[in-house]
Amino acid sequence: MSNDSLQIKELKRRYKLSLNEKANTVLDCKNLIMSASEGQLPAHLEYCRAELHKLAGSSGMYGYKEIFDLSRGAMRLIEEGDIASLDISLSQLQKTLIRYYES
Amino acid sequence: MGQKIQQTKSEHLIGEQLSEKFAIAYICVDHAMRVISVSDNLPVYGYTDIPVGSDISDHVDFMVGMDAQTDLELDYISSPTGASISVSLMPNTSTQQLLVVINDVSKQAEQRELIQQKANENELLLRKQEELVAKLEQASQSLEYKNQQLEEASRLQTMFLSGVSHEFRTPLASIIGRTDLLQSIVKNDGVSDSVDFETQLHAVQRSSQHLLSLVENLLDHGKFDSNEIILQPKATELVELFYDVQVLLSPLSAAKNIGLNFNTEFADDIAVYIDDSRLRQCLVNLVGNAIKFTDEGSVDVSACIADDVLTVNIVDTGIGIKEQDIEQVKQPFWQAENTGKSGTGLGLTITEKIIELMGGELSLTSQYGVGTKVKFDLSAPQVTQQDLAQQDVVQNERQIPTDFRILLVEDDFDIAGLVMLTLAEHQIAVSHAENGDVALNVMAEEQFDLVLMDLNMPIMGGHETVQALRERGDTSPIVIMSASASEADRILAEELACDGYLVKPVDIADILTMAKQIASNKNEVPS
Repeated sequence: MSNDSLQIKELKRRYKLSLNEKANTVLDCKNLIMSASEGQLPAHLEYCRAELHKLAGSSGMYGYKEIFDLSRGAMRLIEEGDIASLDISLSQLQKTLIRYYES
Repeated sequence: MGQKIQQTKSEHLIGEQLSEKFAIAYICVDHAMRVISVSDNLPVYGYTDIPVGSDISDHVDFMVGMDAQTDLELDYISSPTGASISVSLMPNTSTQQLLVVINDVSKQAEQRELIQQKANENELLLRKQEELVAKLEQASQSLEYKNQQLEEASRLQTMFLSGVSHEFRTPLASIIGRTDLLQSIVKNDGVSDSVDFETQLHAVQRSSQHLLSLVENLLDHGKFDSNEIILQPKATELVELFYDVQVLLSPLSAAKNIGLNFNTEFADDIAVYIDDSRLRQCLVNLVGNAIKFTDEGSVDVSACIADDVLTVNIVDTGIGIKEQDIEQVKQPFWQAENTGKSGTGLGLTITEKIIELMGGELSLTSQYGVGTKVKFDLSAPQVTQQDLAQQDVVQNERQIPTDFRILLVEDDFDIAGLVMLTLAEHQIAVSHAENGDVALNVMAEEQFDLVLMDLNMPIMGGHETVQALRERGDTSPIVIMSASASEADRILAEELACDGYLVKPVDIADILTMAKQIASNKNEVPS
């Protein structure tokens, strides 16, 4: 039996349900960055970094290590300015979020 | 069509006269819709180059499909120049000709449009007026309803105040009277043949306990109103809990000479994961109520557990509840009239809310003059004796004082909820501020033993908040809790005299370690 209380179980259930929405946010980030003009890119990257930062924090706390690692990985790519790899990384993160949501 | 068309005193002459007089244009056609003549001003309307003898429908769009016998009025159609025109088809059966009279009605069209516009505006105004009237009516109804609610709330509060005053006065009078008596005996060498000290002290203690439970009920009600009640479940032995309640309430039933029977259908060593103090509170409230309203007969409590659901039935042979009052009894401050019983009218309200919070449901059936049955069931997952033993070890190892208070400054509600609940299960009170600005305000009013501070937050971030706190001389222990593992953030936290840096995902054990360390540092500081 898990040691989680009913309330924590409920919180975790709600968090899992929110993964679909989080996948949409990641997709939005990806689309924003990929369609950004040169002038828009820095602002969009910063927005995306902040969203990934939040996702890394909460997913790690809720025990989704794979999502945590992928979010941190995507954050690193933003810091390194590797936009081409970021596209693939965000797609992978989005699919992983959906996979956990549907599991 | 070189053939000359016979011109009698025909339609085109009439057309010419009309054209000269009223500046209208015309086209005259024969029975086969061939053009006989047109007025000179016809091109003004955009109808140009119409040869005599040609088919009118090849040149004039509105004549397509027409015949020379139909008398027709076409109003407000658009000419090739865009002007609004009216067209009259005037057949003459004797000459078998058709006169097509075209008239410029642009001004009338404009006027018509203006009138239509005005009518539309009026219609719109009328609709808006109707909407406003409907809204006013709705607002008025809502106001009336709120007024009724306020009146009801005011009535209930008045009832509550008079009830609560009575409730407080009775035990207070007992405490004051008995302590006065004891004081006077003490002054007279402490000897009295008629007064039993132990009995008097016991009565004072009972009245104090009663006062305490009244105050707790009032505080609980306030907390429910502001959603501050947090359950603190732990492995709990049910048999022991029910036995405690029976022991606690037996004196009340014995004093009224009524039976109080407990029948629990679970194994002696069964343990469930539940907030034991809240379950105890519910049982004391419900069984206490049953005893209060039963003057003859008995109160029977039965309980069983199946599929991790605890079901409790409390059946009394008391005065019962009138049918019209059944819905009201759960309302705060409500009390039945003419029962001769006093109380705050909050016990049942609070109990129902606690049961709902625990994922259960409370139902109540009653027959006036016969008795009342209260039933509730709630989720109670069973735990093993091993879990129970482990919990005892953890409690024994506990080094964090019970009054240790943590402020969690975190903008992510997913994280805040998880950390708060997990810490609450370790009996640590946690307050939450959703950003640095809120934290600054909260910390200006209250002191905390530990502040857990996120870095990336809207409005005011973690670094900025810590800086502002240190600048105003606040030395509260602060531990940064961030998903950022950057060295720069760590260095900055150290510079701001933070007491620790935890990288998310944070293990609750790490927070507890920090809390224990801070609590022990605090104890070591000489007063």
